[in-house]
Amino acid sequence: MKCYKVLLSSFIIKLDGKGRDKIKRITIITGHFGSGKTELAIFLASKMSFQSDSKIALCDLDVINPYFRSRDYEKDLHNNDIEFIGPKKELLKTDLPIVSGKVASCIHDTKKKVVIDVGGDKEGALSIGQFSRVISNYDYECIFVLNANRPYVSSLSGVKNTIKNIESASKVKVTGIVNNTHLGNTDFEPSDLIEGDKLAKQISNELKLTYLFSFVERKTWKRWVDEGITPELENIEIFERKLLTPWEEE
Amino acid sequence: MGKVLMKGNEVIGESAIQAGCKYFFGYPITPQSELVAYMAQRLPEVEGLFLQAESEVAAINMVYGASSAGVRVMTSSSSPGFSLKQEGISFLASAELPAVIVNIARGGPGLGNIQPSQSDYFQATKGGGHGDYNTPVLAPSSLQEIVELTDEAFRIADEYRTPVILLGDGMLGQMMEPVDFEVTKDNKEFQKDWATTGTVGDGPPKTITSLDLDDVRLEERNKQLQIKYKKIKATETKVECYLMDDAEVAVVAYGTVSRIVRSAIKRARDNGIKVGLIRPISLWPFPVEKIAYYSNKVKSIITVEMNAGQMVEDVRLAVEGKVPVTFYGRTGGVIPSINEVHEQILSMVNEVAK
Repeated sequence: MKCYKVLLSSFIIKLDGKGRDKIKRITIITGHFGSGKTELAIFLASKMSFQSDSKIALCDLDVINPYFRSRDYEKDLHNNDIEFIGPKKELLKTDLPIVSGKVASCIHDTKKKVVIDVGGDKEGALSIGQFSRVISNYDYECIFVLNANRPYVSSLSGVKNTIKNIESASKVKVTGIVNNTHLGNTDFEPSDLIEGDKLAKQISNELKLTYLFSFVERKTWKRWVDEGITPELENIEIFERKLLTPWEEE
Repeated sequence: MGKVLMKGNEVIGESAIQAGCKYFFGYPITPQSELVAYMAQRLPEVEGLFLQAESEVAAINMVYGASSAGVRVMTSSSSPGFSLKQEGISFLASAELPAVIVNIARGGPGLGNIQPSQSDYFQATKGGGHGDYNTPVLAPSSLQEIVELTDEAFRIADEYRTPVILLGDGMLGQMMEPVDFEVTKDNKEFQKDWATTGTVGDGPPKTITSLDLDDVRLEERNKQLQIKYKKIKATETKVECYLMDDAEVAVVAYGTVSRIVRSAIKRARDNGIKVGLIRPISLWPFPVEKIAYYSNKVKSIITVEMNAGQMVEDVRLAVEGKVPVTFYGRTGGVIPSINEVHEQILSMVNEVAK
C-alpha cells in the first residue's frame, strides 16, 4: 500500500528564506456551481489567518447562489479574525448581484491577504472581471474547485470547457486545481475521490495548473480511517464542514 | 451513471426530462431559478424545447397549449410567481389537461423574501385558483425522493388528465445531495386520443376548452371532476410513518421540515421518549385514514410547519377531536431548529403526563 500524506497545511505553510509565509496575496476560488467553493474559501481563509501575520480578508462575490454563501458564516469568520467583505447588512439576504466597493480597496491593500469567493461557472466568474487588471499586477492564485460528481464537470472535456468559460468571463487565468470530489454525505467511498484525483491530474497536466490537494471532510475521513481505508493520494487537506442543512447535528 | 451530486432544482429538471418531459415554459424567480437554467441547458440536448416566457401567466398558458397537443410539459416558479399561475391551473383542471407545475416556495405573503417556507400549503392543496377543483400535490423531502415523485407527478397527470403540483421549499431547491437516476420508473404509455393534433377526416374536430355556457352541461363537467377526485383520493394517497409502531405521541410534518423533526425525534428517542413521525407525501389527497388510525393509538399529536398553521387544520379534521392536536411553526422564511422541535416534543409529553 502506498503511503498517503495528510498535509495539515500543504498549501499554506511554505516559508521563504526569511521565515515569511508564501501565501499569495490574492486567492480566487472559482468552479462549477455547487462544487464546494464557499467551503474551501472559508477553510483557506481560516488556515491563513492562523498561519500568517498579515490581515486576512474574505470577499463574498457570489452573485449566483441565494443560500449557502460565505456571508451566512460572517460570525465564524470574525471569530477567526478574518475581515469579511460582502453586501451591507440590510442587503445580506437579498439575491441582488452586489459587489461591495470595499473589494477593490481590499485588493489594493498590500498589507492584506485576500481570499475571493466567486459564484459558480462563467456567470459567477463575470463579477471578478472588473478587477482582472488589478489582480494580474499582484501575486495571485486562481483555484478551480473540481467535484467530478457534478454534472458537466465529470469529464476532461467538460472541465476544460468550464475552465475556458470561467477564464474568458473573469479575464483571469486559472492557476491551480483542488480535487473536491465527494457525494455530499459521509457514506461515499474513496473511489469517488480517486476518480476525481485522476481527472484533476489530467487537467493539471494538460492546462499546466498546479494540483494543490484533495479536500476531504473530517467525518468521511474518520470513517475511512476507522475502516482501515487509506486512499492512495499525495496531498490531502481535511476540513470541518461549515455549510450544514438544518437537520444535521454539528 | 451512478450517483451524482446535484442541487434540488437541478434534480427536478433532470427527473422531468427522464420522465419524458420535452417542453418547459417558465420565468426565473429565486429560489427556483436553477431549474429554469438547467432546462435551458438540458432540453436542447434531448431535442426538447425550452422557452422563457415574458411572465408566469404567459408560461402557464403555453403549458395549456403544449398539453393540448398531448406532450409532457412542465413549468415552475416560486410563491409570488406560483400565485400568478393560478388562473391557468384552474383552466387546466377544467379542461382536464395533464401538466406538472413546480412551486419551490419562499417566505410570504406578498413579495416576502427568498428564504424557505411552507406557507403556500392552503393555496396548493385547496385548489388555489377559482372554481371547484383540486390538484394532486406531491411534497418530496429529499433529493432522491424528487426523482421518484417527479416521475409520479407526470404519471398521475396523464393517468387522470389533471395538473399536478410538485411542492417544495427553497431549502429543497437549493440544497445538494447525492442522487441516483437509475431507479425503477413508471414507463406506462398513455394514448392521448383526446389531444388536438389535427384530424385527417376521421372524425369530428377535437375541442379542448374550459368554457361551457350551458349550466346543466357545466354541472355535468363538475360532477365528472368530482368523480375523478374521489378516485384519486382512493388510489393516490402517499404517506410515510417513522417509528410509529410503539409511539405514544406523534409529530406530523412534511417536506424538509420532516427531516428536522426526524433529527429531533432521534434525540427524544435517545432519552426514552416514544415519539414517531407521520409524513404526508401527497398533501392532496391528504392521508386522512393513516392519521385517523394513529389518533386512536397515540395520546397527543403536534404538527410542525414553516407557516402560521395550515396543514394542522387537515390533521385536526382527520383526528376528529380524539386527541389534542397542537401546532408549532416558524414564519417569514425562518427554519425551525432541531432544538426547538425537540423542546416542543418534550412539552407535549409533559402535557400528556399531567
